[in-house]
Order: sequence, then C-alpha cells, then structure tokens
Amino acid sequence: MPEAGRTDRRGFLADALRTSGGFALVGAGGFLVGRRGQEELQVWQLDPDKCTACGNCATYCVLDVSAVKCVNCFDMCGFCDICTGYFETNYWSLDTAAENQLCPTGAVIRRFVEEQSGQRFYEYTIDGPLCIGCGKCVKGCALMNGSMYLQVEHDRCVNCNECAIATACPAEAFYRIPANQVEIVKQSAIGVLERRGRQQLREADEDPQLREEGESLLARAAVQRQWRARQAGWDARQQGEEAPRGS
Amino acid sequence: MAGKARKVQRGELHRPPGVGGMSGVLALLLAATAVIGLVAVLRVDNWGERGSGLSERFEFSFEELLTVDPELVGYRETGQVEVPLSSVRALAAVPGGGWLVSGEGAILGFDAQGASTVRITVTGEPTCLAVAGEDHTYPGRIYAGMPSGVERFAPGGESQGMWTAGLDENSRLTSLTVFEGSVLAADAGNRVVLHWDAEGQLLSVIGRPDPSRNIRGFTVPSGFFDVAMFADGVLRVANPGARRIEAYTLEGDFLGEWGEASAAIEGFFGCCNPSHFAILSDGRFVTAEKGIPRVKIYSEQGQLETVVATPEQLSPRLLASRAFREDQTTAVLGVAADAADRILVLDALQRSVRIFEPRGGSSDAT
Repeated sequence: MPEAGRTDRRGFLADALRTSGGFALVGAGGFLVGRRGQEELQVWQLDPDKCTACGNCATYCVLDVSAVKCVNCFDMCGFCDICTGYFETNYWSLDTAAENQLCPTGAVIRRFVEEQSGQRFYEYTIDGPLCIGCGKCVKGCALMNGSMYLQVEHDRCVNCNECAIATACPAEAFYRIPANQVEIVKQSAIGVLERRGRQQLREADEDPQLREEGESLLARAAVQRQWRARQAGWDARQQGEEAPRGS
Repeated sequence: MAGKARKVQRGELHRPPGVGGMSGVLALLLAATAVIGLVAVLRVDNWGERGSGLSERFEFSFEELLTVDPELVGYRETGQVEVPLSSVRALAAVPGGGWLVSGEGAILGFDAQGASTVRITVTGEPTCLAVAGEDHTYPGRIYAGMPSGVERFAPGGESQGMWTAGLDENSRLTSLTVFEGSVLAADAGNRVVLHWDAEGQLLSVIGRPDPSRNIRGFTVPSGFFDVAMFADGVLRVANPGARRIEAYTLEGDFLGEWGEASAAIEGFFGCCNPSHFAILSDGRFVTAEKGIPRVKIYSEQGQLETVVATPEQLSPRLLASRAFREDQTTAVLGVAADAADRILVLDALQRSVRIFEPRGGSSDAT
C-alpha cells in the first residue's frame, strides 16, 4: 500500500503514459497545423479579367519598381506584325524605333520568328526589369487578342499583409491565392491551354517530352478552373451577405 | 519698494526671464507639426482615388481613332431589335427578308419588322449561320456551324442532320455562306475555307498555301474569319491577319484582293481586321472591325465610300469611361445586309440587332 503523497509504480507508469500521450498529441497537432500552414501559404495575385490597367500598380507598390509586371500569354498571342500592344496607334513605321513603341520604358521586346502566307510573325516578350507595370501595353493589346496582362511577380513581391496596390485597386482585382498556384490566367486562356494540351497529347505518340508538356498544360488549366470555381462560389456568398445589408 | 524683486514663494514655479516666450514658440512648433502631420495623413491616397499619378506618356491614348468626320457618316440608326437570349453569337440575313440570330441554346428568326418568326432549340451555341436563297438546292434551309459540324434545319426549324466531312479536332467554324448547290464555311482553326455540296459531300478545300497557284494562305490571328458568296459566283474571304478581303473561284483559284492596314478610317485597324463583312446587292462591301469598332462601306474595288456606324455609336462606353474590358466584348460585331440592303449590326453586349439605313433615304422622309 503506497504511503500518502507518494505514487506507486503502476500509477507512475499510467501518469507517464498519459503525459507522453498528451505531448504526442500536441506534437502531432502542431506538425499537422504546420504542414497545413505550409500548404496554404497565400500570396497576392491579380485577376486579369478584372484588371482595368489603370496604372496604380506602377505607383502604389511599396517597392521602388513595382512587383507587378506585364506577361504575354503566348497561347493567346497572334504573333502579329502590327501588334497593338507594341506599336503606338499612330506609328510612323513598323520597326523598333522608340517613337513607334507604345511602351514608355521599352520593356516589350519584338523578335522576328518567321514569314508565312506572305505575313511576318513576331514574338513579343517582356523585359522584366524594365517593366514598371503601368499597363499601357495591356490596354493596347486588349483591343485585339488581349494576350498581354499584368501579374504579380512573386520573386519581387514582399507579400505585405496589406498590399498597398490591392487597397488602391479600383477594380478589386487582387486576391490571395495559394503560393503553389502562382498565377491567375484569363478565363479565355484556360480553354486555349486545354485545347493545346489535348493537341499535344494527340500528337505525342512516342515523344515523352511532348506528352509531359501536354499533361502540364492540362494540369495548369485544371488548377485555374478549380480556382475560378472556388472564387465564383466565394463571390456569390459575398454578394448574398452584402445584399441584406444594402437592402 | 516697487523696484525690489519679489521673493519666490515655496511651491511657485520659478521662470527665469525669457523662458515663457520660448515655451510658447515650442508649443507653436508642436502644433504646426501636428497640423502638417494631420494634413499629410489626410492627403495620403490609400484608395487610389486620385489615380496613378503617372505622366501622360504612360497613358494609352486613342481618342483620335474614335472620332470620325461627320461628313463621312452616310447612315443613321433606324431601329433596334432585342434578342431574348442570354448571349448572342452569330447573325445571318434571310434572303426573302428578316434575319436569324444564334446564341446559347437557340436560333431565333425575325421578320423584316423585327417580329419573331421561329425559335429553334439547339444543344450548345451555333458559331455561324446561313440561310439558303431561291438559287440554292434547298431554298430556305438553315445551316448552322456547331462545334462538332454543320447542322441543317428545315425552314420551320426541324433538324435534318449534321455533316462533319473535312472537319477535324482543330476545326473552328466561324462563318457560313450558301450559293446555288454549294455550302462554304470558314474554318479558323485550320485557316481554310471548306466547300461542300448541299448534301454535305466535301468538294474542295480553298486557301491552302500553294505558290504554284499564287495562293499564300490565310492568316487568322484570332477567332474571326469571315466568308461570303456574291451573285457573281465569286467567293470573298476576309484575310484578317493581312487586313484584306480576297476573291476566289469556287475551285479555289485566287482572283484578287483589296484592303490595307491602317489606323486611319480608310484602312483596317490593328492585327486582324475586318472581323466580319457582308456584300450589298450592288456588290459593295460592308465591313465591321473589332478593337476600334466601326462599320464602313467600300466600293467593289475597295475604295472607302461611307461610314455606317462610328465607334461612338457602337461603343459609347469606350469614350465615356475607358472601361476597355467591357468594350472589348462589344467591339466584336456581326454584320449583315438584309433583302432591302439595310445594314444589320449584331451588338453582343446589348444583345440586340441594330438597323442602319442611308441618310436621306425613305426612312428619313417619314
């Protein structure tokens, strides 16, 4: 019989088991929470379907040169000789002279690709360090194919809790997205990615690289579709909550 | 003793001469700093309401393209007919009068006054339409370009089946036209024009590059690629990437071309225009452009004759708010000429068919 105030061996083992069990539970919980937090690391990104290229991205970012840059979605681009995202509307000639270029910082690079059907085709890429995210080319391109649009560059963005551009965005185009999603492509681009992905899979045959590219395009499109679907549900709930307040 | 200094009492604050004035200045400075700070805080535009602050060099300006010399505008809008569909996609004139419009899940018919005549329920959204005239093997038959093929309908709307000859996974039908025993479709995906007989048997593929026949092929940077047959039996094809309209025989021989790239009113704007066109009964061309939306009439030889509708008429928001996102959708317009040579313009955002007639015509007199 144990003396008062002392614990026998069985009691001691039971207490030890309970204590270590408690620690294990807390540890496992912490590990799971940590992993969950890692998976759901959120970053800022802007929805190009909402963006109006107002220019605020260029001046409201806390960085000296904005983390928002133009990108060109090649799958939507026509590789045209007369690119309305590259040339001033009243261009003097179709060459790379500064007075013909729409971009004030010369950040859009035009490179000849090929001549086909009597037409010359060019590739338009963005020189990241030169781009300040003013969106002038985005407005020009929107008149035609709309393949140029703005995106937050994550290796520059410092991921502020309260993004100054998001606050100043008149179109409310900024969202927190999972870090592994990286981008928000235009809705019209999703279908284009899917079509090209399927085409590559059809043509892949024994070419593993082509198959991999096709699968990668389809996976990229699927991530975007899922995000759009989640966002649509979220927007609908928001509207539902705001309606009674407004009425 | 007036001149004797008063003895400072215990507990009383001793102020050396001049110190009272200094504290006043300090207080004033503090107050000024506080006011300046407050003004600075109030002036910070966290919500972007005062714009980006970028200089004019960073503004995209295209006002000069939106304004059209009023002397050039020879038409006026005389009517507008709403289309009761959630989205509209294609427009076709009915040879005897009236028109058809397709949209999500349906093809709707209207007579010349805009009254509804037929409703055909379909699966999906027809991307292009054509109605056969009296010269065709099956007068009144309706042809609809669907994602999977060309579907035929009797004039009353009964489906008569679908053909897929000549189409593949890349095919994307954007325009249909009918002439005597022929049906032709523009396939933007493969950048060719397909030519079938009225039963759907593929007769030829027009526009494949062939230097020996002086055929350079079509350039289709976006999903706009229009074709039209005229009574002279010559096929006209818009080559949007080349900013031209080209003429071919039904055998696929190249006959000629006209059109030039230009932001000015005389030319076709941007990378890929005209997006749509139609032919009037006298052989003149009606063209519709995207980007800077405008509808114009050119002579048979390709000389600009008049403007039917200006960007301001077709897309007033482009001028009012610069909200280019919305206007991108309105900029793409279907165009057709009805039996009376009135010009029909499909306005996608308003979901309506807008009717334009020449100024000084009979409609002006009434």
